Amino acid sequence: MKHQRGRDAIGLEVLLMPIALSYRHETKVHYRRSFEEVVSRVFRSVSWKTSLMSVEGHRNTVVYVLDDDPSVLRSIGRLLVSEGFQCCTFHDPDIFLESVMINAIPVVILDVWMEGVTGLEVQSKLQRVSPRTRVIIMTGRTDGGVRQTAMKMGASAFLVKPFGDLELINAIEVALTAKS
Amino acid sequence: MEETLPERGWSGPLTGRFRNADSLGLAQTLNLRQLLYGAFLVFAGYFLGAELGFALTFKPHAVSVLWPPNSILLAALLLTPGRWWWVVLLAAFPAHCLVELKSDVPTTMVLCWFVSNSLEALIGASAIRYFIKGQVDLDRISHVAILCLCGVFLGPFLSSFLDSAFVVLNHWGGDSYWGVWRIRFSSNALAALVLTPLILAWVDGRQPLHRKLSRSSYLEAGGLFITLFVLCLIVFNRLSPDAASALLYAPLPLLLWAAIRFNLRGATTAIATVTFFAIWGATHGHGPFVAESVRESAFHVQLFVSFMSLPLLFLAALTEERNATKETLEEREERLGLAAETAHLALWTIDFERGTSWINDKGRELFGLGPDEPLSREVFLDCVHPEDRERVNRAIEYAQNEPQSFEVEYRLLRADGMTRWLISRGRYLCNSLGEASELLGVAIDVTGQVKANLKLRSQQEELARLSRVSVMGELTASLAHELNQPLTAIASNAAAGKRFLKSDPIDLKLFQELLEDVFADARRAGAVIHGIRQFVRKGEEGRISLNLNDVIVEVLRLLHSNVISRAATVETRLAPNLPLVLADPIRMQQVLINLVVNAIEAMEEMPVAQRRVIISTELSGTQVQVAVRDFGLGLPIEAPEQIFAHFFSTKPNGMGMGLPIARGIIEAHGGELEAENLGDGACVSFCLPTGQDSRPSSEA
Repeated sequence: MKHQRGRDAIGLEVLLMPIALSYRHETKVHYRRSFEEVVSRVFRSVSWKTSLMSVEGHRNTVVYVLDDDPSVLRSIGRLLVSEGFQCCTFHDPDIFLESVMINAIPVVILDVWMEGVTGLEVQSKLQRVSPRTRVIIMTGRTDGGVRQTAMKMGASAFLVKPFGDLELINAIEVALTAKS
Repeated sequence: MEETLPERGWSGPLTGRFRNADSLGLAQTLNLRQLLYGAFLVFAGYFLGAELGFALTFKPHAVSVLWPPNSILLAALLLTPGRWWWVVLLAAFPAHCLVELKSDVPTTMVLCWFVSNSLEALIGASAIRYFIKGQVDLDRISHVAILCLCGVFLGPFLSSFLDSAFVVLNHWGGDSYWGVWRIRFSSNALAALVLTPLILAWVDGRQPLHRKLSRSSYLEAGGLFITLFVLCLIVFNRLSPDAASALLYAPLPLLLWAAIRFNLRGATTAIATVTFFAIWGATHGHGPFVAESVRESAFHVQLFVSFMSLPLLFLAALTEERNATKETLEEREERLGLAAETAHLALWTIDFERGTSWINDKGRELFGLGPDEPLSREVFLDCVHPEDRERVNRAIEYAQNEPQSFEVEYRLLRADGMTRWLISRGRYLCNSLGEASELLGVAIDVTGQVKANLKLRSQQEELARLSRVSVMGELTASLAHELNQPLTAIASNAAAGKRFLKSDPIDLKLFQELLEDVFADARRAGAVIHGIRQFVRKGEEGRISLNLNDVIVEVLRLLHSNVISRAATVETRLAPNLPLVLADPIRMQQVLINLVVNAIEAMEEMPVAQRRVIISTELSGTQVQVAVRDFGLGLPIEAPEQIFAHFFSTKPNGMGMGLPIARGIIEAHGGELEAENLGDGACVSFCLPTGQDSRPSSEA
């Protein structure tokens, strides 16, 4: 993945716009798309690169976030950017998976309860297609032994919404450290 | 009174049978003994009647003024079932022969006369039976009229032609055909007018002869008849022919007295008395009827007696009829009063034309009226609770304008400060001009029922609320998720904002967008909490015009996380331009949440790809139909309706309250809720009537 540097924060919003626009609360999401469609969307998603903030530290680190809630996505994106990460947000698990695979993303943040799919399913697929990627799981509901499953599958952190900013950043840093 | 004696005796055995029996029904009940007894009485009556007829002729001429045998025969026929008439005629025959042969009449003439006499009675009796099925009831004017027309006029009129022909053909006497005819007709008609009603009245089975009369009535009757006797004796027997003819009217007051006070029996007996004395006097050369010729005298008597009898008979019938009506009315009023009293009904009438009113005791007690206080609409409305007054008044007004019935439920504010619930039904009666002339009404105190209903309703409300609380309890995790999403966004945005503040220069546009997001998320969280509070709060049902599509969207928002966590998908097929329904939004949510949660739970054991719920809305006729279809296990096959029973649950920790309550809610809204198996799942659907406002909603 080529990182375009020198973009300012506004670029983030511009880039995220398609996600926000394409998001429909009632939309039913289909997972079995044709191969062509997936490929074309993956290529499009390449342009959804995050902006760069002039914050030192994580300047080169790209974090992917997957959640079906646009507002949550935007806010986490802002938080990460403000902390100096490069951030790419997704609401579509398939595109997310393709992108992670292609771009060898080191750390991803997954929401658990999404429409039509759970973060744990994405996590297990991810392990197959990109085993080196560290996974941070976040969830708004903790029932059903989600934490145990996630940790057993090798998640590096399990965050319960709403979480504090430092909690998230620490988790990312721990994941990065563990990786390196 | 001679002629009444046999009939008096006769009435005993026969009349018992005539009671409550028609002419056909009682035919079977006459036994041989009664038949012989009756036959004997006919014989005796005919014989004595004929003797009397002879006695009342002008001596030495045989001009009969009154010829009773035929009338007695007529009465006997009327009292006997048709199939036994031959017995009556057979019994009369020897009497006839006996009487006639005594007076040296040739045998042929005797037989001819018997034929004509029998024919007269038969014509009269048949004609009367033709019009009156069953017993002749002289209490009724119509029956009196028929008796006069057929028995008094038609029988003698027709048979006299034959009789005169017999007389002329046998060369009996020296009179012309028409002379004989006139005498025959008038004497027989008079007898039928005087004697037949007399016999029928005294033999009337429905009034026992020994009816208990009060001592004063006996005295009155005794005094009346003694006076009548004396007066008749003086007027018809002691006065000289040239006395003032106005004295003829002297018995009239007594006759009227008899007719009004002693009805038919009094009237007929008084008529017979006067007739007897008048004829007796005339035939013996006394009284005002003595004219130059015998025939003329006889004719005068006949005219006098006929004109006197006819109106009296009708008057007596009228009095009887009126008394009967009065009795019936009193009886009905008594029954009605008893019914009203038993049912705690208030009854009232207001007569606008006479300006009078009546209200029963229960009504006075209910409306707090004094014993003599008149009732009027104003007085009534004063008692009605002020909040209901206008409505009640409008209902009455409406009913009055086009006279008809009204029914109104209202509260009554009593002087003691207590409130009672009442239902009043009223009806306006019209006069001949079509204006409302009278108001009849009934009111019933339903306070007890209303209170019980209110209590029941509040219990049901509470149950429904508890069910909602329980649903909320089951959805806690989902609701927490719904709240956590915006909270997470807010927290992250705040943290990001804090960091952005340290950058230089501060990107104001970015900051503004961030704050807008925070604001939107705060509102979103607030909406979730508001929804929960609304959903479980206590409160009266409040129905508004509602688009069910909106409710479905709202419910899916609440259940969003629940649907996701069960790995199910919900598909909506909402009809555009769905008409509004009048419903309580919270209760509609409750129903839909119940159905959707049930649908999702029914698919727990299904493969993930199959866990679909389809919610559809459509307009069918005047109803909005909502269907929630799942692809789960389906309803319990052996008893699909069982799911609507209380405490029935297929879930391990279900209370079995959801569906019965949902059905209760839909039914309370005038709709229906039902469930069916579709082979690969179940479909629970309900329909609600569209409100009066059937405009399609814009937001559909």
